[in-house]
Amino acid sequence: MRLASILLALFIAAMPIAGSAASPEAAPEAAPQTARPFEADSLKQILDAQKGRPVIVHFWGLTCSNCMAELKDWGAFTRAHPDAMMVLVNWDQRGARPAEISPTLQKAGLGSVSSFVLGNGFEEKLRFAVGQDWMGELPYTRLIAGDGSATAFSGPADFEQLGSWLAKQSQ
Amino acid sequence: MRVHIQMAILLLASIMPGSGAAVAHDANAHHGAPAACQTTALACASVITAAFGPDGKLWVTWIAGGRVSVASSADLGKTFADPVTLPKTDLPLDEGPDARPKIAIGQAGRVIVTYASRDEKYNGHAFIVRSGDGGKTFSTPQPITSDSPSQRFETAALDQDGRAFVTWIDKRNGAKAKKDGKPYAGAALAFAWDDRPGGTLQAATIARDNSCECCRIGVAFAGPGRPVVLFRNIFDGGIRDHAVITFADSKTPGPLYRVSDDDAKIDACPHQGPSLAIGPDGVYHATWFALGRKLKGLYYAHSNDDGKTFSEPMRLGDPNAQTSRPYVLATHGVVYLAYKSFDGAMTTIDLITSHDSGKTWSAPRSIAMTHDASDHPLLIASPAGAYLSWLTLQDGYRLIPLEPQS
Repeated sequence: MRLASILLALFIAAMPIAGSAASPEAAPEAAPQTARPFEADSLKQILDAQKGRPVIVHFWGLTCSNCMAELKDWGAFTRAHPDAMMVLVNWDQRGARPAEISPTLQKAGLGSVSSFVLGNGFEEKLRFAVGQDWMGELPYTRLIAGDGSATAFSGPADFEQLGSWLAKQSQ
Repeated sequence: MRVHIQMAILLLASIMPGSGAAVAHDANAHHGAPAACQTTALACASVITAAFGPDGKLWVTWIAGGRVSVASSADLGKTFADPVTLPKTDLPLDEGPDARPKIAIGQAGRVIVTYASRDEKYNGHAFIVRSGDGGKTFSTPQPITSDSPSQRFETAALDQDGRAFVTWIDKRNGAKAKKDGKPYAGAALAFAWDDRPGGTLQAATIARDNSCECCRIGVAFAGPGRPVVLFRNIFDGGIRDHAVITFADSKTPGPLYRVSDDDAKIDACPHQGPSLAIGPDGVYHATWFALGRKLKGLYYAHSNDDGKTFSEPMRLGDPNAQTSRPYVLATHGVVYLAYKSFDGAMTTIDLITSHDSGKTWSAPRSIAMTHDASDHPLLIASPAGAYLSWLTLQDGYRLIPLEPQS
């Protein structure tokens, strides 16, 4: 699966980038990510792979209008902080449309951000593994510092505050 | 590491010849109900809503295999008569976290079912179907309204005289404001009475602008023709706290009263709507999920003055056990309140009871549990008793008496 996504990324990266010159804002997306299933141990794996670097995990939904309204702002934030480790997790439940995740993220300028989709089955258990006090509201964002300590907020992000948090992490 | 991979990709890309179109696919994404269960059978249901008829017969409606079905049971859910599967909707059914088909049972074989489908922009399109022959046949589904871009969380309820009140979250005024370039928070609370069984509903009336757009509605009656609606409102400053409206008469929504000062200043979808019950003594019982700066978690409050003021909110359950989906029922002289808890491995339905109209409550008692996915717990009353109606992946549909059976 990992190999497949790398191959797909290679394939797309090899495509001629058409029209990008016409829109200076649309920086070429390096590696469009396909959404991988988010399981109970996914967050731990992400953090283990980061080896003490801070991580921003943003939970969003196509069915959540407040999420969709700020998605492009997350795109701008990732462009402004190219070194920040971001993870996006789509948390749409029943009636979800996983095929729309990648195109939506691409459009918001988030095509190269590591992307997950709520895994099969027991949503409560998967959510509990993320945060015991998370009641499933969206958007929801967890900020995990290098030492593993986590803070979280529900609702749209304050990107200025988020930038300050990131800056503090690298001090 | 990611940066290294990206650099490698860019390097490779620069030396690879251009190729034709490639489409990114979510081939790895999998989701939802077990793939093996795709039929319209009750056993494949993702959500089930139940109600008792005046004759004590249990009625259920559910979504499975992309369709809404209806069936009845004369033995408290042990066996069901052959189900009726309603016509397929043009668009996929609304299966959002707080959405479900609803059912109301009247006298003389009257059955009303409401449900909604959703378009590619996630706008809801809600329908009503009725039966006048005890659920043997149903009328052609009718849209609940003809001039709205979106209707969700539709609920039909029968008042004491058997008149059907339908209420829902409607986006007509939001769409109009957008067209006019004006700001509009959330959606609106709309209603219509169903006075022409088989035909269209009355024209819709907007009871209140600026309600939260993503949660179910609680409905009960203060008297014939006087619905009471509990919903997540958007107060000034974008505060999404709960409010109650009691109708002065069937056409006139009364003033809006705040149930609790949760101070939910948040533009997030909680996907958890409230529940309302009114006892024969006229006391309002409200329970809700708060996501505020002052209150967070599950709460209960009651009102002795027709919803004008509510008691101090009472916190339910363990804050660290993901308590959710509270539901209240007032029947047979008892107020029952159930909610879900999750401890990391097991989901439990806890029940508390009050025998003095909500003033004092019993300690929580666990009445059901499961180790896998489950629907919201619902409480329903038969002429003889009170029950938990609950669907779990492990055990299927269960109807559990709330009082210990002798």
